[in-house]
Amino acid sequence: MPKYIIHLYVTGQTARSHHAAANLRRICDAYVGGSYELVLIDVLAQPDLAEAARILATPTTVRVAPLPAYRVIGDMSDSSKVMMALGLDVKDLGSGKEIS
Amino acid sequence: MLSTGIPGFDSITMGGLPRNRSTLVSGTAGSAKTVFATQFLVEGIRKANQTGVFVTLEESPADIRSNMLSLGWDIARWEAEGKWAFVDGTDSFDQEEGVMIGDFDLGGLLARIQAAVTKVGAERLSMDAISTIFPRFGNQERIRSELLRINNVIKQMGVTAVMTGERTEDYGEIGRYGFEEFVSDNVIIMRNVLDSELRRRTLEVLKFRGVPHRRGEFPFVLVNGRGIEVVPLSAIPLEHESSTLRVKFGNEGLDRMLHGGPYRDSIMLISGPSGAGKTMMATEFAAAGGSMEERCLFLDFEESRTQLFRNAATWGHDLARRESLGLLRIICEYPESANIEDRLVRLKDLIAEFQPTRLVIDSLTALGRLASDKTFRDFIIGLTSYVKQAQITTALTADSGVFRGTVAMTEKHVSTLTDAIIDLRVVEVGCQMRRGVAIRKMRGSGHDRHIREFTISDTGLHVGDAFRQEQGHHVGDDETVSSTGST
Repeated sequence: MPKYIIHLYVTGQTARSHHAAANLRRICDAYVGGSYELVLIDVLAQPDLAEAARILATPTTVRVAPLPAYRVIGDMSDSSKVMMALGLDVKDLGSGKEIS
Repeated sequence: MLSTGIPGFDSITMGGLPRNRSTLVSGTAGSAKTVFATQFLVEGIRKANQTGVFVTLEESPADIRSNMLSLGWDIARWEAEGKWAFVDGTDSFDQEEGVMIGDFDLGGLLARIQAAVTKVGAERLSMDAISTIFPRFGNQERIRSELLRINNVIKQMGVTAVMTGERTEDYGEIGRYGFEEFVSDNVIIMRNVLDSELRRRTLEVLKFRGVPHRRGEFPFVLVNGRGIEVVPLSAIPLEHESSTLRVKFGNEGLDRMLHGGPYRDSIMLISGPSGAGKTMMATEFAAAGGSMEERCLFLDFEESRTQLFRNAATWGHDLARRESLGLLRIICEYPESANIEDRLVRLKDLIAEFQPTRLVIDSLTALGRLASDKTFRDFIIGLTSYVKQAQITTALTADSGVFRGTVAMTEKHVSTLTDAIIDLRVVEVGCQMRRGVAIRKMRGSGHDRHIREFTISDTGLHVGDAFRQEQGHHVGDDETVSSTGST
């Protein structure tokens, strides 16, 4: 069972979309190992999902689980900022396992 | 141009809004821009069978639905019918919009707008308010270019759009961030200013690129249950056919002086100094000689109902009876109770409801005290135009005379717009005060040239003999008629 569920909303298959996805994967690999599930949502293909999540800017990254649901906008170019923004550096209160 | 269907708006813009373009509607808080944006879609559905998308960035869809219900608009029903779609861009998160790391665009918003427009087949779109986007996303240049992009996509989809923006001053910068006006070729300013202690709402077309439009501010009213109504007072075209049918003033002597009576579409000014008998004359007209075919709407800004009825009784008129027969409707109000544009709208509503054949306003002077010269003149033009088209015989009373060298304001404005002027005078003869009446002008007809004496008794008004030249002088004017007859 993946530990983190992260949704990445992008607009189409652009360079920015690819950068964002690549950056995010790299950050998640580094900070949570394999313990995450990254869902890529193209707002052009699935505008109804974008509507439900109230997405305005792309790329937008939403940490869906575990709560709280953090949001980050942008192509994730600064790793350490992304890590903090998504709360990936916070001690996991449930299992007591520290994430470095 | 796309005709909006918002009452009065299309005539001041010569057709509506530029089709397939977006128009920025900028205004201070409380200037009714959200109502305008909503009404644009509402009238599209109700009058033109055009569906719409409302992109809301400030108020939640739920708030908009419930707020607009008081204007009589059931948005939820239209949503269910597939005629209206919301794009909810409001910030519902407890935190900031989201930390910004790296480059981004507004692709999410654009994709959602496109999907909504396609889903309902929208031809109209409103976005409220684009000024809220700037602080949420920090990066001004990026946001500006993204709004331009969204603008272009909307154009290509064949949609006509209204975008609202907030400003901080009624007479100052166009928009809070200084560059919203460049996002749109077309700009409308809505204002809500204090004028003589009353709120006055106006709308101004600042620019419509490539399209002619009327310049300046136009007043509008926000009517409960109906929405925005622009009152294009002097923009109403002066086209009406003149009536050749005469009606009775309601007094034998006066009707004789008018060579039969006023024309059906006449606007008569009853002018005279205080105490000369204007209200009496107006009441005589309202009573219409007892005719069962004449229905009168009487707007009284000078006295209370009780006073009016009591005075009328001493002149032999049973106004209560006429009222109970549905031949008379009396509205007594303080002039201060509404601004002049609201008055005109309300008057039109009353006329539509009561369907009078004649109208009395006593007095125009009382109404005119509150408004600026231009506003007042606009009101009179709007009023006279309207009643002429509706063929309602109208009597307006006004204080007259030269007072300290300046002509009374009402005279100045009104006398050229009226068809007939009935002058009332108080004439000093020997040591007595006697009353005189003269017809100063009457378009399209001959009329009595004499100043005749009239008396008031419990049997009403009686027009008598003409005064002779050597008799006396007018009281109440600075001008006097000398006994050698120099005036």
